[in-house]
Amino acid sequence: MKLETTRFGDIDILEKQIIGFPDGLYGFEKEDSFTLLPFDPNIDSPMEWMQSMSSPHLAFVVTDPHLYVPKYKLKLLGEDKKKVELEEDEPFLVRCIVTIPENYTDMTANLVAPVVINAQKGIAKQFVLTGMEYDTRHYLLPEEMRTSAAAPH
Amino acid sequence: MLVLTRKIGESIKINEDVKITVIDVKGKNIRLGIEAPRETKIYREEVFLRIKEENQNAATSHQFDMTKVSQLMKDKIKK
Repeated sequence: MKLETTRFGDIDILEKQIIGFPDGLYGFEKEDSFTLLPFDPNIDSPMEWMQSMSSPHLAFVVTDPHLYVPKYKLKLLGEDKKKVELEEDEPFLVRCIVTIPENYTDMTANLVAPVVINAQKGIAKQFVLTGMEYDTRHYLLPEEMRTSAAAPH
Repeated sequence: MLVLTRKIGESIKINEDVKITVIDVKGKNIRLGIEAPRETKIYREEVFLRIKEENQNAATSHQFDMTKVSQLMKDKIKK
């Protein structure tokens, strides 16, 4: 099917690439379906786009938190799994939403509210982790790679 | 909204298995102790507001060079 997007123009996607978000996202409760797109078709990237199916302008940069935060732990309880129709030992994808400010070296990932995707069934939900160990604005790059963090001369 | 008055050390129970106790009151701060089954999710309400804000920030990301961003992330992962 054809999908209209602001960033990439009209693109073709398959029905099975559509991911349903019955609850939407926090602040975007009516956005009930997205699809994952390559960040840039010409390069290999650890990032992806999560493009809204209904709002052409709405696309989030997402990334797998396990790549950057090796200790990242997401414990899904039985009732959480039910919300995305996961069987007990079924694998799932985790994507955190990335915010890219004007100075992109300061980009952050929201580790508190990961998106859990049941890729088999095409259903997903943004969960909110309890506890205090993660931040909604976790810097993806260490200080020495952030140009804004450099000491002024 | 149901409103109840409690003293320090007193509790309220919600259903059979959730108990909230007033531990201490200091000025405007009230310390609460919560006993609940492990699977009960307990949040500070502000967390939802922060997540909403952060989703909105993410949706209005600035224009950026995807190649540079990807390269930085790959460099970081290699470390």
